[in-house]
Amino acid sequence: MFGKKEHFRGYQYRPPLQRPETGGKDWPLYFRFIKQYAWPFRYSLIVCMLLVAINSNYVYVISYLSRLVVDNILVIGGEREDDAGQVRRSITAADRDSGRSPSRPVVSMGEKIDMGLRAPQRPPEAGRKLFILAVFYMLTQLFFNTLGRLAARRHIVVAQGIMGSLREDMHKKVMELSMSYHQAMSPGRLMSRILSDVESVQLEMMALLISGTHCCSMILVGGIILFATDWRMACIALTIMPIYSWMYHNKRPQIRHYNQELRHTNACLYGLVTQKIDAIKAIQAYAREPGEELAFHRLVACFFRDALKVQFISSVLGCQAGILAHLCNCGIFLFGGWLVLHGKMSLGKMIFVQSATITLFQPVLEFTQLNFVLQRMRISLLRVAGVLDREVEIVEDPSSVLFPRPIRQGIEVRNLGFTYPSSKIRREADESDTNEISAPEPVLHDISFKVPAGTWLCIMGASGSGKTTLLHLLSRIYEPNHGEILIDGINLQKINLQSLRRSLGVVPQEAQIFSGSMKENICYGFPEASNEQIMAAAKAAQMHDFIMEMKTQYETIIGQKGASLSGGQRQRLSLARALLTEPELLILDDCTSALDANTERKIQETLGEILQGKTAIMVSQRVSMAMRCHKILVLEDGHVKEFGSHRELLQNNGFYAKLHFQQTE
Amino acid sequence: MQITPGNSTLGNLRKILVFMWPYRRHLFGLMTMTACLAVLAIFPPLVTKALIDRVFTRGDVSVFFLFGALMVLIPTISHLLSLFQQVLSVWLGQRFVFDVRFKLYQHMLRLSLRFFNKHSVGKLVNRLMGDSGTVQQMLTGQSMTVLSDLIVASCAILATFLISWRMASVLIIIIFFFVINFKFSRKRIVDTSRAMRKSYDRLSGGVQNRLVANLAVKTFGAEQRENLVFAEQSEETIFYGKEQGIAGNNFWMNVSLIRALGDSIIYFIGCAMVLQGSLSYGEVVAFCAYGTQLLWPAVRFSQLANQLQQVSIATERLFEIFDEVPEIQNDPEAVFLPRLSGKVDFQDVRFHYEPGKEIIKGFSLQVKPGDRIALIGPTGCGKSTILNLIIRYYDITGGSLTLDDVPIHKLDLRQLRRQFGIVLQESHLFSTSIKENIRYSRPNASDDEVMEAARTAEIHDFIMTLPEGYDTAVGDFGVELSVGQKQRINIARAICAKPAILIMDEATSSLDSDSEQAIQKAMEKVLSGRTSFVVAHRLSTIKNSNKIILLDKGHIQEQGTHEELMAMPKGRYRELYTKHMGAGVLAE
Repeated sequence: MFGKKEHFRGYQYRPPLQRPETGGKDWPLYFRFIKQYAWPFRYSLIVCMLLVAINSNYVYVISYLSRLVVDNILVIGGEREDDAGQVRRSITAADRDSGRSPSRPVVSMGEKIDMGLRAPQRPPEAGRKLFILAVFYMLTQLFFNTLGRLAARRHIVVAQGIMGSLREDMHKKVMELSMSYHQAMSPGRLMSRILSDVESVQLEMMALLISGTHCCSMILVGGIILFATDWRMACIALTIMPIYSWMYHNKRPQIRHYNQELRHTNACLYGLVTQKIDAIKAIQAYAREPGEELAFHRLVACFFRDALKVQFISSVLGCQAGILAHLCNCGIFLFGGWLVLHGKMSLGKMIFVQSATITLFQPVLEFTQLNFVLQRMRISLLRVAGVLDREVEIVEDPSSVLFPRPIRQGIEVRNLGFTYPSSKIRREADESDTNEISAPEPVLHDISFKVPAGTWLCIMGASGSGKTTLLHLLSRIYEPNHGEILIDGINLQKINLQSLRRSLGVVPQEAQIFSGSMKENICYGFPEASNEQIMAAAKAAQMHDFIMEMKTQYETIIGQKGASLSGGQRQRLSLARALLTEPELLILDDCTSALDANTERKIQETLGEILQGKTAIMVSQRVSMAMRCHKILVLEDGHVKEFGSHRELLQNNGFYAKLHFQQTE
Repeated sequence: MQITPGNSTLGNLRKILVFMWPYRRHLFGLMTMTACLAVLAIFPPLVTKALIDRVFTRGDVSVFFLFGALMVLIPTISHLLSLFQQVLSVWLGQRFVFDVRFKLYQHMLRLSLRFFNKHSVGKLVNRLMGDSGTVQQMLTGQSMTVLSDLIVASCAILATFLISWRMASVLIIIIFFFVINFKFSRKRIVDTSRAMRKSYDRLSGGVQNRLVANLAVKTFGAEQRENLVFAEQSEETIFYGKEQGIAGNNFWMNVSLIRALGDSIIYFIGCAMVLQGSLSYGEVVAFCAYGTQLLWPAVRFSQLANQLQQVSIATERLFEIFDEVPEIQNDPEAVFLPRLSGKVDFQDVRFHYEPGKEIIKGFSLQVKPGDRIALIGPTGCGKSTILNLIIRYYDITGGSLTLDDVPIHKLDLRQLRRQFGIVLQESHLFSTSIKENIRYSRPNASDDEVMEAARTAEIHDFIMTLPEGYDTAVGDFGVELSVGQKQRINIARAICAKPAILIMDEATSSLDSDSEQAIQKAMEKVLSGRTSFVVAHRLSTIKNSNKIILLDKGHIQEQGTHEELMAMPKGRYRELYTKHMGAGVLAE
């Protein structure tokens, strides 16, 4: 059942697991992070490490106190070398001398017990000494407990502090990074960078520092104590412990391997079930239930086999290691016992050595595992650093000027060319994303046109012709590769970013909804807007009546947690949001595509009113919209194909004329 | 989720035992092993005691080797036994989960659409994957812990009372403190971690929001504002994180303090009794060992009620799905029609999802083989519902619906459904190769047939540009396709089924008009010569239908060909069509 052979995992819906590569050291990276994020907490951290170092050794103090009890107060165990031979005599002598301590058998658990050969050697006032020792013992426990408490508190404070500052930096960076990066990475992935990777960096970094200190301190002090008390027994421990830690070291990668496979299978199972339940209509329509059962059965079986394998390996390891540790323990106990019986060691000392040895197993094991902690930290740290060290593409020019309000001359685009970042750069964004097939090709070639102030331009073209890209360049979401965009003669890159963003009203193709109330969503670009302004914007976008129909009206929660809006409603909301900012220049990206014919016409009419006297650039698929614009630009594969007014283009008898014919036949 | 304690919990447990029944022997074996392990745990302290008392204290060397051997042997045996116990326990648990998940999945696939509309996908996945795991943990993990705890604790209590009843009472008091600490700290731990989770959810929800809608953040230049909000939320999370950490730390430090002080009290009282002569040192050592064995079972017992409740909730959730009866049942005397001709007959069909809210109010329509029927109308008028009735996702509630003159419920369900090709609004691709995706509708279709279908759907050329052609993986782990490409693969899938009847439910409405035109061409080819039902919201796509049916609130408002409908001077269709096409249509 548990052969060495790897079992088959290459089922459908379970692509092979991509493992993050391990190995490799990046010390400069580690130091950089420690310096940047742990340095502000250095005093707390040092205090914490000191406390941990002291606290680790409390076992030895406690064991030593027990040894005093056994050897010096209760006086149990074999004869000492110095009083060998006198034992027999001393019993009788003691019995005769002191009437207090009886060496006669006492009954306990139905069995006669003997108070031991050396009971009479107990010191006078043993009771009082025992009491003092007990008080001292308890105080020590209390002391170390308090130390531990303080250390843990420091640890928590430092850990949370490091995590907080790293998290904020990550968030800031992600917000600054360009759209192309955001598109290459899915929101889910970026989220796990900001939240879970940062957390794991913090956890592993603290683990490295704190358990490193703990282990070193314990191994060092424990080793010295062992050798100082009895070198022979220390040797026993010293031979067994490396074997013990080697066993773990050896099996650990195997367990990790299976665990990764297991987690991967589990993730695939979730994926499988989600996509199948999502597509239940298709499954039932094509009556494919038996096939689906088979696919599920295979994956669950794969999960079953791996789960069993993991458990088997770790149980065998646990069993072997447990037996080994136990044998070491017994060896020391029996060897020590033999020494005690021959009077070469006191019982207390033997017990002390034994307990010191047992407590050493755990830190030795932990110490060998520190390497894995380092590996884990490296993986998350590389991911985090990948985000933090990425260069920001859109940078503010230090000599920037404000956006010209109002626009007097208009917008001029000169020889604009743009290529999306190559797939290589995209792949760097995430190591596991390798399914990039298209080589980067220029999206826009040498585009030039002018939009005089107060006029509207409609951009048309087939999908993939670069319409949306052109709008993105106009709103400076991307930087052009060559050529320039001038607004009233000022290069777009010379305009203060904040003032640019405030002067543009952008309505994207896919409306962006935040989870929050309707009102919050509308006034996203202008949070200080009054209720009247918000309602006016909503009315202009044909949204008001719909909002008023809902139970909580403008306070209705929408988005991920709230009611979902239809595509058309989302587009109208996004239009209202843009209108609210009273933009100088409106950029509309096919913002009526998801509307039904009726609403579309209404919006076109109100847009006509709102845009009166404003400058606007829009993308549309509808000739009815294009007809209203002063100029129409037809793009084909990134080239300007046609440019002119409705009438001119109709005469031209090109793409536009064809489209006009199609849509109005 | 309402929990009704008592009867239903017991009932659910009984239902779960049905799943356990095939493994009763293994379960019995597991219980025996667990019990043996628990009994074995009694001996090591006794051996230590004997060694200390008889060998070291009394100097009885003769039994040294006997007890030494015992000291080595007993734990070794118990380690080995525990190995078997662990492996068996995991085998049993995983086997159980396997069975439950598989049967549940099997069951789920056969449930009707009504069920899937009622429950979100995430919820169902959680039931299938999460709740079954919870139940398994209880059944094989925790129940064994409880069994072993029971034996260990009762033996330990017995042993401590035999050694010294006075010390045993002290021990009980200490355990009492231990449990009290647990009870008190638990509340704080639960409260703080709940607060922490809430605040973390807010934090991550905010981040998700900003990432999903990043374009809006950028176009409105709101990055700095969002950074501030994030910093604030992060600050709050840190605060609760600290609270939570300190609450947990306090609990664990209290535990270790009570343990340390308790140990010292017992130890020193014991030692004092040794001095007095009423106890041997070996007994003190054994006593302390038993005391340790008692502590954790005590805590676990105080948690037991809580865990039972969790399991009972999880079981209830599981059986909520198991108890769901598939709504569409195959008639035992169903007729096998090898191939439908495509003749569909609606006679006064009525249907409602919920009683009292009739969606289809008397729908009558005769469809000849090869007819192309288009259904249009406002949202909620019942267009998609009629399609659902033909595929028999739902059963009609009134009137009659016949295919080839056989009532639909008299047809074998699987056989019936294999006659359809469907294309829905949301295009679902499974994460396998393109070939498998197209072949999904008819697994025994040859490669040539797959390619033929792809050609008809006008996607063949695109597929050939992909590096691995038809074997290219799509979906979660594969190449990303545009909506239009996905939809064309879906159309290819529908064609590959060689359907008698084709159903298209808003197949093009999520596309932009360019891709729509490309698909339009594909669809023209597919639809010709087949009975088909098309629902669309763009009127240009349905002009060529044999019959256009304008539905309103479950009634047929207008029907006829495009020309017939346009000829009606005040017709709704005419009004809609002219509006959609822009005002210029009629003028030209």
